[in-house]
Amino acid sequence: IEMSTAGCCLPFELLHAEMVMYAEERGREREEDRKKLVECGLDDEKLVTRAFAHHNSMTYLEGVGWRVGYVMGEKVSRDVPRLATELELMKFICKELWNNCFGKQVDNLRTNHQGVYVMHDNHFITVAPFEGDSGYLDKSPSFLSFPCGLVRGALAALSINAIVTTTVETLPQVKFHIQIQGKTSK
Amino acid sequence: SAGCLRMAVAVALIGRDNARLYTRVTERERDDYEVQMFIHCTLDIVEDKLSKATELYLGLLTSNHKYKSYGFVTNTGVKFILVLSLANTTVKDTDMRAHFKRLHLLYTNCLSNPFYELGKPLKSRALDDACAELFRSTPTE
Repeated sequence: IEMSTAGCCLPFELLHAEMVMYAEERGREREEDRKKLVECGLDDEKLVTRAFAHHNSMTYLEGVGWRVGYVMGEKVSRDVPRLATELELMKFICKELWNNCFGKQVDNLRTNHQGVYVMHDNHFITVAPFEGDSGYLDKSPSFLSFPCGLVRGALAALSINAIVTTTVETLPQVKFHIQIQGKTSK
Repeated sequence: SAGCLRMAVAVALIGRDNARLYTRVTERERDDYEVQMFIHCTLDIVEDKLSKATELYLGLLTSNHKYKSYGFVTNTGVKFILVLSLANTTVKDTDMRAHFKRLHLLYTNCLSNPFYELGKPLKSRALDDACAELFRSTPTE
């Protein structure tokens, strides 16, 4: 993996990569525990599977990202004027929040004006080391879970209930899809 | 009569869902329910002013025979209220803005603590110190 030379981003990249590895290792350990429990001869295999199903490495990372995003939403929105409209909020996410959390602004924002927003980032920080290497395409969801959570958490802090997902065609370009579910209580 | 002048008599932080995150009242007024009732009334006014607000600082909200209150609402819907004694006539908008900015900073510091559970009451020595500073009485001329 080629390390990015952007000095200020490096600590986060390293930490994030370690977080992904940690989460996946935890996931593997839990899977082993689950298999052991099933082998013990527990009658209800479905129950065991369900008990273990609520947390995999990606939901774990997404959850961590949510909490971080919530705080970042609060912190970064401190220095901007009142965000009155949904569009202003989205622009805030694309500019100030993205800059603070991911080191640059979103390159392109598209919307259908009906609660769906697509943000294009041509060089997304957590997958930047994989540039040009298509072999990492199937690994990319793990590296995008935390960022999805972060964006979802920041939106939650700003009273927006949304689903955040990503699509990737060529690394390190990433498209974030934000689907607004309706505002949370104010 | 000559006496002491405090910057504020009460500080309240209320969450977006109206949960009381943090309340401090100066010692003198602490047994008085008047201040608490006044904060309640102020909250109603905040909702009203918020719909027409163009910035985070809301300015003077309301007053009664004893107190007046100032408000500040973040982009995340957290409300900050400062209750002042009516006797405090020299207070300026710029001062209030500065106080709210400081309180907002201390609030985000609390949030940044990963052990802090969102929505629960805030526990922060820095906030306590800031309130003590606001409640400190300075002798009037």
